[in-house]
Amino acid sequence: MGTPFEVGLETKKMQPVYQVVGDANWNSLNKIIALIRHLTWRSLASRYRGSALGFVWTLVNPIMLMFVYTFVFKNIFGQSAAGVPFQVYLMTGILAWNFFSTAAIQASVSLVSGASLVNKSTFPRIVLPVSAVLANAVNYLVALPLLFAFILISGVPLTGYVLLLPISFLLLTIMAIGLGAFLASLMPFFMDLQHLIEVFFTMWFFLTPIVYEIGLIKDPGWRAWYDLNPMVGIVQFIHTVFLGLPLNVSTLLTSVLGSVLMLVIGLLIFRRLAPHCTEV
Amino acid sequence: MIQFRFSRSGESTLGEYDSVSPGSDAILEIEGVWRKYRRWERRPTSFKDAFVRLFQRNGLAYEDFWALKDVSFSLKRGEALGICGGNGSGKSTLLKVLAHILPLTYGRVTVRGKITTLLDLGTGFLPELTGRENIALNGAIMGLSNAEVASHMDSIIAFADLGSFINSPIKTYSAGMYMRLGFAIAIHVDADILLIDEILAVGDEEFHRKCIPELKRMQRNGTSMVIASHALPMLSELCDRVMWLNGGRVMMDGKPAEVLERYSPHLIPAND
Repeated sequence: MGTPFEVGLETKKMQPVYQVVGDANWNSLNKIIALIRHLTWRSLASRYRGSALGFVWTLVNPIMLMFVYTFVFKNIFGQSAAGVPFQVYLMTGILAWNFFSTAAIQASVSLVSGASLVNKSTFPRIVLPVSAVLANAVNYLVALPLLFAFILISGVPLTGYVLLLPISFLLLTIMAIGLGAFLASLMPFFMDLQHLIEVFFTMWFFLTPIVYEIGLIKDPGWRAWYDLNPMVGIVQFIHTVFLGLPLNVSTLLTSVLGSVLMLVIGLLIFRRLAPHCTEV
Repeated sequence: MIQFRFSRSGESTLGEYDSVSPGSDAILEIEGVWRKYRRWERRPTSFKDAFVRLFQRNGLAYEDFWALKDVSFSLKRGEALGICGGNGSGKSTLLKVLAHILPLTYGRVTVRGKITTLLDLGTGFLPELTGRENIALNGAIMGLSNAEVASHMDSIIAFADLGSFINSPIKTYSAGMYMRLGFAIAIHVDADILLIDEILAVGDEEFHRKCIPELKRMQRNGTSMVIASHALPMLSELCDRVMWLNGGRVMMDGKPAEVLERYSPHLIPAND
């Protein structure tokens, strides 16, 4: 923060200190949670408002993708997917990826799109990216019963791994919050980040085993680099949870470490930068 | 405690209010607050832009602009401080620094209580939601718990005087209803300090007749206020004390009548 006691033209300039003594406005976690719930609900309601078919529409995108990728990767390239029907394999990965990427992208613009609120009121800014992620988490959870129905109809039996579903969900959520908070704190300063992010997520999608099987990567050197992507372990783990594919402990550990690290870094950078978003 | 007071006009700004010893009665204290903006010739808004202009002469040139210069004051419980000054004198910046919406560049702000802002009426209102739903959402944004919103709901509706409109989407509201609702929520936050920016200037006669007595009642009950406004009669009616800002600097701080008398000649007369 510069020299603590610069002598200016008129008086001593003191190091900036803003302190609240005693009973502050945002002193209780309950209030912050209440606000997160309101904002989450508000973004869900605005998405589904005015159409009873609102929820069905959120499924149209993954279903279309499933048909296209099935055609390209199964019918043209002749791929299979570790002994489960290719469509089921795709759908499991696409739903998880859509949750993660939509959540992170919406969180990344949350400070910018909430600028009118941020400029006029004092609530903790972190509620904006967090509620953007949670709204997408609700969408994902609501779609899961349909995914299970699809899996069972396709003849894939559920295994005991399905009990680990909360862990896979938690990993996706904290990864999205960490990355979303990190990007949200940069967005007010560099608006073209938005376009970079979209390109970045498209590349990331293809570097994650969603439309192909991870066993296709034969070169161990490439594979070692490939496994450093924390989404690899998360998506593999999701295939284990839903489809009973073998558990890969080493990529799962990379993912756990990666997502916790992302959460910590994202929150730290957000805390450092978000107060300055009102300056631009 | 050293008081970093400065007055360009040379007169002492030390008045009866400075007898407040810090830490006792003062609910809000600010000392030597400076706030700097960077005024860019053209601020780079993207990576591409920043990169391109990195290689241009004066591409990233900016100059420092001080929106607040060495502002100090302290506010007692229940005291109302008015802030007058022309456009660009730093009134809004000061309120945002007090609320911690804008970080301060130098200086010290000490708050001994809950701050609520009324910088804009109806910030965060969603046109599609009903009045009742907006009260719940806006209350949460202002820091009310769900239980507090529920317990104040009837009183907020009564003050806003919306009648049957309370269950209609607020896009159907008149401007007056909209303002009354925004004001009603803010005064139910039970804040110790209320920061008000210009909102009293926008309302009509009827809105004022409703709000001013309410603000006075809150002052009697111990709520402190900082009110920035161009409306001088209102400042003298509502405030115990008025501070005159000019170019980010405190020109005068004292009794409303005295300050406003000195300030009035500096107003540019209307073209008539």
